[in-house]
Parts: sequence; structure tokens; C-alpha cells
Amino acid sequence: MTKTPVILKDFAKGLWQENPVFRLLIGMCPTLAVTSQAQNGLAMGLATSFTLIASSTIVSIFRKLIPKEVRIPSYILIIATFVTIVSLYLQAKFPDISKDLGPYIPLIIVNCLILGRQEVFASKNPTHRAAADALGMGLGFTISLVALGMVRELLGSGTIFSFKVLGDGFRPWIIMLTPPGAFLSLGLMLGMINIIDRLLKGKS
Amino acid sequence: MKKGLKITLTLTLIAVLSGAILAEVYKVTVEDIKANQKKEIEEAVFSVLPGAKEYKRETRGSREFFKCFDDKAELRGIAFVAEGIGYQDIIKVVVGVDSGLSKITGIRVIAHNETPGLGAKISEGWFEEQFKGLSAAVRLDLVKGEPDKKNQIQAITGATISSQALVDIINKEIEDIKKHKVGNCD
Amino acid sequence: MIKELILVFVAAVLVNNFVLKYFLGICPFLGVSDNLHSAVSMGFATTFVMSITAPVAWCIKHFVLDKLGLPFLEYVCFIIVIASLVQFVEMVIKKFYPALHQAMGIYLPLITTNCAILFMALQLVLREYSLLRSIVFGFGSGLGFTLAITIMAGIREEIEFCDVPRCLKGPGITLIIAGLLALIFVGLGGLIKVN
Repeated sequence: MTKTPVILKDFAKGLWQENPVFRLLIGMCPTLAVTSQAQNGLAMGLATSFTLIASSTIVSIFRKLIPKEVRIPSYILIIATFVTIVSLYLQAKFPDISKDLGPYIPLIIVNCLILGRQEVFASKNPTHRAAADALGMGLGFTISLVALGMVRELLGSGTIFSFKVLGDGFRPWIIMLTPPGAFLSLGLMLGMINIIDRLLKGKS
Repeated sequence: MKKGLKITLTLTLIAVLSGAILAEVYKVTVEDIKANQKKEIEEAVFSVLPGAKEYKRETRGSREFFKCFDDKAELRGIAFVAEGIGYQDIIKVVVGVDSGLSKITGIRVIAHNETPGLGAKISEGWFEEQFKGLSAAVRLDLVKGEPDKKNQIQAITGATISSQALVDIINKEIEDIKKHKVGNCD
Repeated sequence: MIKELILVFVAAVLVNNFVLKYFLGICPFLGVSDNLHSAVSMGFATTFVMSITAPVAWCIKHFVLDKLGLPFLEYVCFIIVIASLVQFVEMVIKKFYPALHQAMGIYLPLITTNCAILFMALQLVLREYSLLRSIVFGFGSGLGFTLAITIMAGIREEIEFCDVPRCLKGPGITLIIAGLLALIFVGLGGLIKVN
């Protein structure tokens, strides 16, 4: 383990050990809200990752110039700027995605995942490590959203990424597409992740 | 004092930079965004009025509507946005009627927030298709199961309230558009 | 007029409950709901900030952003307003109501990153609410949040003594309870009908 380069470790921890959704339980609002379809989960994951990577890089570059007392307002300003850019870009180039994600795009600003990474990591580490950390966290977040989206879409409409998977004999569990389904499926998935984690730990 | 100055300077600098960057990005994207919004209305209007190639936005009183013309610049009909409360939120639907206001030429639900998998089916093609060609002279009725009379709409299974809400909205707004005497009647 | 305001209020508290329908404020909903007292304090602190944010956001939108033609600064402006308001409210309470500050002081800074508040500010603009409606909407949304988090805390205090499967302990079972609560609130969907 000691031989793994630091930067790779920073990247990899976001995928499983410190997966933002399944382990750290942050950024839950978009996780639950947009995952009635895998595609929307992917779009939200990518939008959040972009904002996270951009903000982390900028914050890390200027980490010595930003006074401690106003670091939180400064981070929020930087994040809000990038989120507005994402929002305008989506409205211009991908109006359908923009319409689907709707009010949840501006909420990326207050996603605790992004602000949390600035506070815990980017403001204290050199730029290349901050970028690697952001990339890993963003990817971990995106994978979690897509996974939850796939489960809900499969059970709720019998499709994955809009491709029909389950035959006509399958009666969709409509509840999976509604808010209660979102809470229930995420709760059960957390349980499963815990079991898998315990098995992995038991082996090693 | 020095500290206060540094804090103020940093925040101002970030705010100014952010404003400047966003202004530039906005300038680049605003054309596309406006074009997308226009395209959305256009697509909806043309889809509810087959044969329409051109439209003109007009208002009479508080009522806004689109006069639609075909390629020979002849009036094909009127399209308008109808709006009302569905099961839990507002439903917006574009309705097309012919120039004599006697027939519905088509509808297209453009915004709603109904239950996914149930009420949300109001925006599916087969449900919208039912309205095509129905008379605008009498009120539409909602029935469960196959329609057996004229001007009946088959409700979505498990979503009678959403279906009823949409039918009510369309009935009410067609009345309203008739009151404003748009189209060939004027 | 009054009827409309009541409708906006009921819709915000029950039918379109921010937590259980729109998934807003999930972080405090999961994090601060382990005991009843802190849940109620968090709820009221949030309601308080939301009731003030609503009219301020409305004024910023109508008197500043629209007048100057700067729609793209909406997100940035609103989040600054919320962050400053939270700070300001904290200072005022600390100065004049020290007892109240002791009770909900630690929750105030957390409110800035509660997405319910930013969502509320953006929605009242999007839905073109009047000033009065916005205030009712802000207050109602806050109460809806308080209601959800209080119910949750009450249930979780009982769950403490139950035998929960090991893998679901903590957040897992909380989310499943939230799902069942959301199911109840779905049933409230037909509570209001406007025609």
C-alpha cells in the first residue's frame, strides 16, 4: 500500500472507502431527486463533477491568498459562478436535460459535497492532489447516482437508459419512480453496501 | 484594520471576477437559449396544427394566442396555451383549433408535475392523440374504458384525477378563447 | 385572496412538503433528527430564516436584477443574500436574545447550505409569486420542513430501542422510515383542488 502514489490514493478513495453518497452520506438532495432515470442521474453527476473539479482547482491555486475569516463566502461565490456557467451551458446546448433537471441544477451550489471538499481538502493541499481528489469524488458521486438511477428505472419502468430490459409481462413498480421509492431504494442500497463492505473486510 | 482591508478586497475581487466571467458566458449562450425557447413553442404550436408553417403571436385583452398560417399564407387555425391545476401542480397544454373554432386539431402537454408512471401519462402520445379531430362546439367528457359516444376521452388507468383535470382545463379554455372571438369569427 | 394564500400555505406545508416531496434539506433531516429537542430547534431556526429570505429575495429580483437586466447573476446574488442573512440573524439573536441563541445557535451556520432555502428563493421567482404570497410560501415551506424533521426525530427516538438489522443501522433505517413518511404525504396529494 505504501508504494501507491499519493495522487492515486486521493483519487481512489472517492470511489469506495469515502464514496460521497454511500459512505459519507453527503449530497443526498440531488441523489434522491433526479434518479428516477439513469440518464438524469448521469447528467447530474457530470454537472456536479465539473463544478467540483473546477472549484477545487481554483480554490487550491489561491488557497494561500484567501483570508481564513471569509473562506466560506469565497468558496460559495466561486462555486456559484461555476454552477451558473453549467446552467447556462446546459440551457444553450442541452435544453432537454436542462428541463429534466430543472430546479435541481442551481442547488448544486449548496451541495454539501462540493463545499465540504473545499473546506476539508482543496484549501489545504497542492493543486494536483486537490484535482485528483475532486476527480475521484466526482466520479464516485456520478457512479452512485447512475447505480441508484438504474435500479429505480429498471423496477419503475422496466428500462435502463431508456432501453427496454424487462419484457411486457413485467408490471412496473410505479412507486419506485415516486419520492417514497427514492427513499426506500436508497435505504436498502445502503444496507447492501454495508453487507458487501463487511464481507470484504472479513476476507482481508 | 489591515486585515479588514484584505478581507474586503478579496471578496470584492472574487465578486467582480465572477460577474465579469458570467457576463461573458451569458453573452455567448443567450442567443442559443432564446432560440431553444422559441423552438419549443414553435414545435408545440406546429404539432397541434398540422400543415401550419408560420405563426403570429397576438393578444386580445388578457388572452394570448398564436395565429397559424400554412405555406400559402392562409389562416389554418389558432393555437393557445391553456393552463390549470392538475393533481398536485399546474398543467400547461398547447391546444390547436381550426380557424372556425369548431374542431380541436390537436393538443400537446408542455409542462406538468403529475405522478410519474400514472398522471404523467397525460403527456404521452396516445392520450394526446385522442383529442385530435374532436368537436370544439360541445364539452368533452371523460370516461373509464373505451369511449362509445362522440367527444369522449378515455381516462388513464389509475390516474382519473389527472385525466379529468386536463379535460376540464381544455373545456374551460376553449370557452374562454371563443369569448374572445379570435379566428375567422372576427 | 385570503383563500389563495391559505392554499399556497397548505400546499407548502403538506402537499408539496419540501423534504418528503422535493428531497430538500435532506442533510439536516438525516443529521439533526436523532433527538427531538435539536430537531425542533433546527426546524424553527430554518423557518425563521426562510420567512425573512422570501421577501428579501423577492425584492432583489424585482428591484435589482430585473431593473438592471442581470438575470445571470440570480444564483450568485441569492446565495450571497442567504449567507449574509444567516450571519446577520445570528448576530442579532446573539445580541438581543442570548437565551434563544443558546438554544439554536449551533444550527444557524448550517442553514446556509440547506438547499431548501435556495430552492424556495428560486421557486418564488419562477412561479411569479406576489410579495405577500412569497412571504406565506417562505413561512409555509419552513413549517413543512419543521413538521417533517420533528416527526422523524420522534420516530427515531423510539427506534433506538428496537432491534434493527445490523446492516441497516443508522442512515439505512432512517431512509426507509423517510420513505414510509413520504408515502403518507403522497396520500395528502389530493388534499387541495383548485378549479
